Amino acid sequence: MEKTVVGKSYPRLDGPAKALGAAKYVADLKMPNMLYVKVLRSPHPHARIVRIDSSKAAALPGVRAVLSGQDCQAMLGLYLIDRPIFAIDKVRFVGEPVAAVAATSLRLAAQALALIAVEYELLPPVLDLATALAKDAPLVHEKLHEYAHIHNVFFPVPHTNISNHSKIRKGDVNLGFSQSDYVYEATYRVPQMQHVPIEAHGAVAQMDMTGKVTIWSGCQSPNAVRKLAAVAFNLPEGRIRVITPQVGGGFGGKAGIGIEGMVMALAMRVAPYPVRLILEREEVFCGTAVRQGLQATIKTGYTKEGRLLAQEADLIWDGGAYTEYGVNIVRAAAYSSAGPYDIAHLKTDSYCVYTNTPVGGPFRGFGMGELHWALEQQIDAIAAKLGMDPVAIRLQNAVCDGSTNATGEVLVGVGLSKCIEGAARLIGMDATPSERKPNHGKGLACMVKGPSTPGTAASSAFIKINEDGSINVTISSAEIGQGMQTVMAQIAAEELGLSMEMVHINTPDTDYSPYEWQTVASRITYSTGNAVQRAAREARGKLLAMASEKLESPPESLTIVRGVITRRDGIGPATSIKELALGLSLPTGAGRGGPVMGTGYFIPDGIHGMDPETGQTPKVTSHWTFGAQAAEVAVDIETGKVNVLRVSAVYDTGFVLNPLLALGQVEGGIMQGLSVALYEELQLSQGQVKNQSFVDYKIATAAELPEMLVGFVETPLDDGPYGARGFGEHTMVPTAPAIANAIFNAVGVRIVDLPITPEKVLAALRAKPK
Amino acid sequence: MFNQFDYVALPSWTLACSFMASHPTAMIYAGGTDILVRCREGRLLPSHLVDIKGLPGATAMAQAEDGSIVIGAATPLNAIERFLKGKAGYEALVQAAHVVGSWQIRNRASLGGNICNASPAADTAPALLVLEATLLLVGPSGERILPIGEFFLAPGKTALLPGEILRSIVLPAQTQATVSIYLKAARTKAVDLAQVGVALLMLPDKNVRVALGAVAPVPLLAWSGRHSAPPANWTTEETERLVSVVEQMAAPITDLRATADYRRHMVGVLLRRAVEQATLLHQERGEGR
Ligand SMILES: Cc1cc2nc3c(=O)[nH]c(=O)nc-3n(C[C@H](O)[C@H](O)[C@H](O)COP(=O)(O)OP(=O)(O)OC[C@H]3O[C@@H](n4cnc5c(N)ncnc54)[C@H](O)[C@@H]3O)c2cc1C
Repeated sequence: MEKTVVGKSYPRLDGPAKALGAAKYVADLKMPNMLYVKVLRSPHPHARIVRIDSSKAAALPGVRAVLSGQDCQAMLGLYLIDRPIFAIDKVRFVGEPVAAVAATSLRLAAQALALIAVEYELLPPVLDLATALAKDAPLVHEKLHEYAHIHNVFFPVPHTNISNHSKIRKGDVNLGFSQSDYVYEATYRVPQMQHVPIEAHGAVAQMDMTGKVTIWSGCQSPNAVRKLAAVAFNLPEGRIRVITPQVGGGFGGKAGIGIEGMVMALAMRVAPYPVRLILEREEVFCGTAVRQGLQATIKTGYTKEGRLLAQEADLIWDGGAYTEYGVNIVRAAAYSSAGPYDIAHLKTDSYCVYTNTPVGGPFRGFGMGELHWALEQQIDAIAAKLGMDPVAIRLQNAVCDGSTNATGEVLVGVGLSKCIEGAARLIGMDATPSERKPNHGKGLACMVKGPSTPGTAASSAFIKINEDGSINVTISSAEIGQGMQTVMAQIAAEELGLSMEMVHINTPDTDYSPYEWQTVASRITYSTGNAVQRAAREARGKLLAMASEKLESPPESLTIVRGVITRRDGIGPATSIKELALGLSLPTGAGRGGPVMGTGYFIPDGIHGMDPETGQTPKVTSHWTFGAQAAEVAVDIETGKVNVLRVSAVYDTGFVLNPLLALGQVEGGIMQGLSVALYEELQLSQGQVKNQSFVDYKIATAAELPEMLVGFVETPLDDGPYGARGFGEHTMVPTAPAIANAIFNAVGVRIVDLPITPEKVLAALRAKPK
Repeated sequence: MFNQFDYVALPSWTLACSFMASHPTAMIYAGGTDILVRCREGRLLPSHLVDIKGLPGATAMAQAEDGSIVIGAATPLNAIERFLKGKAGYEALVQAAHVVGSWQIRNRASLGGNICNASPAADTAPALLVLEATLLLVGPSGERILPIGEFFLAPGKTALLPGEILRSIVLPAQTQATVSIYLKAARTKAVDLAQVGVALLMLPDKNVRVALGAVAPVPLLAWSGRHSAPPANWTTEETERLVSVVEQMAAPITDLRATADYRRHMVGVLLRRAVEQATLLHQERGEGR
C-alpha cells in the first residue's frame, strides 16, 4: 500500500515547545515545601570509611535529613549488583556519594555538608589497568564473588578486579594464523569520557503518607528506574511511580538508574516532603557514568591478497569503580569483535576491569565506538602494509548475506558493501593522487552494531481515540532529543490514516503509560515502533469493524484517509474516525461497542544466549545495522592541528521513516564522533577528574562543523516497522577511525590513542622516518 | 552555587571609587562573564558587585583629533570590533576581540574586564601591549595614567590600587602604514582559551613589537625595537632572528590546555605566520594606495 506519512520528513513535534522554552524539564519543577539536596562526595579514589559523624549537620536548623551508607544499605545494579547508593565501608572513586543532605534551601544543604565529618583511612588506589590486573593487585571489590549477577551471561572472576570476562572462540585461530601470509598486531587506546548532555542529571522524589513514592526524573529508562528502585528499597513496583518529562540529552548517561536512588532514599526519610537534586556540571563529570576506557590489542592474520583469516583480540575495558551496567558493554564488544568483517577464526577476550576511577557505563555506541577505533585502524594499517586500496580491502572482507559474524550467526539482509561504496563515492575516495593537496587526506571506516539488550527486552504501546477523532499514543520511551516522539506519531498516523496534527504523544509516566524496557540501544524506532504499529493496527481493526457495519461494506473494502473512512473504490457513503471514536451510533438512536483503544507489544524473536566458553550462538541480538563513513582532513604539519573538512556517511537503516530526522541523527553523530576524535578525554590525576568543566573538557563547537554528505541504503529488516533498523548510536561510531585513517592518508602517521591531539600528531610526525 | 552579594550601581566614577575604597570586599562588575563564573565556583566571594556599565563614558568609544582612540572600560568586545574594523594599525585588537569566547560572550565581555582579570591568556592583552595602550585609572584620590606594560603584575594581579577602577583604555594614533596581527592557538576553533597568543605590530619606520599571551605569568611584551628592514623586505633569516629572540622570552608551563613544549613550539609557528600575514597586509595596503 502507498505510504502517506512514514518515509516523509516532518519536523520534530517537540521542537516548538523546546524552542519557545515551554518544554518542562525536571529542573523546572517547583513544589510546595520542597527540600533541596546536596551530596557529599569522596575526595579519595580508594579509602576505608572509618567514621561518619553527621550529628552537627543534622542539628542545623532547616536540615531535614542526612543520609549515608550507615543508614542506607540498598544496592543497585542492572546486570551485576555492585553499586551502593551511598558508599558502604569504603569509597571507590573520587566523587562517590558518601552522604547527602536534604534541607529547606540549597544554601543550607551546602552548609550542612561542610559539617559532616568523615574519617578516611587511605587504601592503595587502583588507577590504571596495569595496576588493576597485576598479580596481588589491591581489590576494588573484595566481595565480587558474592555479588548477584545474571548467571551464564556475565562472568566475574572471583578475587580479582575482573568483573566480567566474555569470550569468543570461533574456528581455530592457530590454524588461521598458520594459513596467513602475514600477521599484524597493534594496540589502540580510548580514554574515559563524558556524555555531557546539555541538561545536567536531576530528579525529584516524594513519598506520600500512604507510602507511595513518585519520582520525576530526567532519565532514559523510567521502567528500569522503577524496577531497580523497587529491588533496592524492597517496594512493589506499583508503589513507585516514575514520571519522565522532557530530557535534555542522554547519550547513555541517563540509562539504567543513577541519582534516583539517593533522591528516593531521602524522600522516604522525609515523607511527605518532596526532595530535589539537580547536579552541578562538575558533579556530572565526576559523579555520573562515563564512557569506559579501552585498551585493545588486535592481532590479525591475513593473506597477501588482503583476506583476513584470523584475529585475536584482547579488549581490556576500564570499567571504573562500579560496573553494574558496564559488564554488558564488555560482552557486546566481545560478540561484535569481528566488526563488520567475515573472519573465519576468532579468539576474543573482553575483560571488564574495576579501577578507582569514575564509574563506566553506556555511552552512545555501547562499546562500538571504542571497538571500531581499533578494528577500523587495524584493517587500514593492513591495507597500507599491502599497498592496497582501503576501500577495496574492506569490500573484500565485508560481511554479506551468508557470512558468519563473531558468534557464528549466519547473516542475512546485509547492505554493508553498498554503504562502503556509497560513503567512498560521496567523498571521492578514488580521486586521483594528482588532485591531492599537500597534507590533505581521506580515510574510511565501517561499523556494525546491534541492540545489546536481554532477549526479553520488551516494548508496549497504547493508543486511545479521542472524541475529536485525534489520538493519543502512550508509550514509556523517553524523548531524549533523538526525535523518537515524531517517528512514533508518524507510525500511528500512517496506520490509522490520520494526518500528523491528529496525533498526540506523551512523555512517560509509569502509572499510566505502558511498559518500555529502556530508551537505549537504538531500539526505540525498531522495538517501540513495532508496538505502536501493532496498537494502531488493533485500533484500526476496531474502527473498520464498526465502519463496516455502518457503511454496509466488508472491512477489507474500506480505507481511512485523513480520518475519513470510505470504500476504497470511493463508492457509497463515508464515516470518520471522529464519528466512531466513542462507539457506533445506530440509526435507532442506540449505541454499540464503545470508545476505541488499541494496544500493541513487541519482543524480538529468538534471541539466544551465548555459549559461555565459545560465545557462539545462532542469534545474539535482534538485528544488525551497518554503515560507513569517510572523512577528508587537512593536517597542519606545523601546529599538528587537524581540520576535518568533509565527512560522508551512508547507513543501511532498512527504511528511512523520516528523512529530515535521519539526516539530523547522522549530522549529530558525525559531530559527536569528530568531537571524540579530536578533543574528548577525562583527564584524571590520582583518580580525580581535572577537567570537570567546559573550560578544559572540550567538545567540538559549531565552528568545527565539516561539510557533511549523507546517504542511506534501505535493505528492509524482516521484523522492523516498514523494514526499519535502529541506527541512532551508529552515526558516531566510525567517525573517529575514519578521521584517523584520513590523517594517515594525509601525512603518513597513525594516531592509535584517542583523542588525536596536535601534540600527538606533531610527535608522530617528528618520529616518522624521513 | 553563588555566595550572597549585593548589586550596586552608582551615578558617578567618584562615588563608585569611594564605595570601592570603603568596601574592601566589593568588586567591579562589568560584563560579568568572568566574575560570575568565579563567584559560582566559590573562588570569589564578593560582598558587593559594583556595576560600572552605567557610569559616564563607560561603554563609549571615540577617536580624538590626534587619531588616538578612547574606549570606555566596560565596552563590550563586539562593539569594539565593529568600531575598529577597517582602522589601519588596530587589526590585532580587532582580531583579538573577535576570538574571545563566543558571539554571546562578546556581547557582554568588556575590554576592561578582559585585562583587569589579569589572566595570562587574556586575548586582548598582547594586542594592547603592541599597540602601547595606556590606561586611565580613577581612584579615591583622583586619576592617573598607566602604560599597559606596567599593569599586569602576576596571574590575577594588576597594578590597580584599592578603590581604583579602570575607566578607559587609550590607543595611540596609528598611521595608515602600520599593520598588526593577533594569532591565537587554542584547542577548538571557537570558545576556548588561548594555548598561546601572539600579537605583532609593524611600523613603517622598521619598528616591530611582539607580545605573547599564555606563555608567562603575565601577558608579555617580548620584543620592541627596530628591525633591519621594513616589513615588506624581510628575509627568512630576519624573521628567524626575531623568532629566536621572542622564543627566549617565553617561559610556558604545562597545564590542561597544552604542554610547555607545545606552547614554546607554537610561539615560533604563530610568530612566523603573523609576520607572513602582516607582510601580506602591508603589500595589499601598498597596492591599494
Ligand atoms: C564561555 C566563556 C568563554 C571565554 N572565552 C575567553 C577567551 O577566549 N579569551 C579571553 O581572553 N577570555 C575569555 N573569557 C573570559 C571573559 O569573557 C573575558 O575575560 C571578558 O573580557 C571579561 O570581561 P567582563 O566585562 O565580562 O568582566 P567581568 O567578569 O565583569 O570582570 C572581570 C574581572 O575584572 C574586574 N573588572 C572588570 N572591569 C573592571 C574595571 N573597569 N576596573 C577594575 N576592575 C574591573 C572585575 O572585578 C573582575 O574581577 C571567556 C569567558 C566565558 C564565560
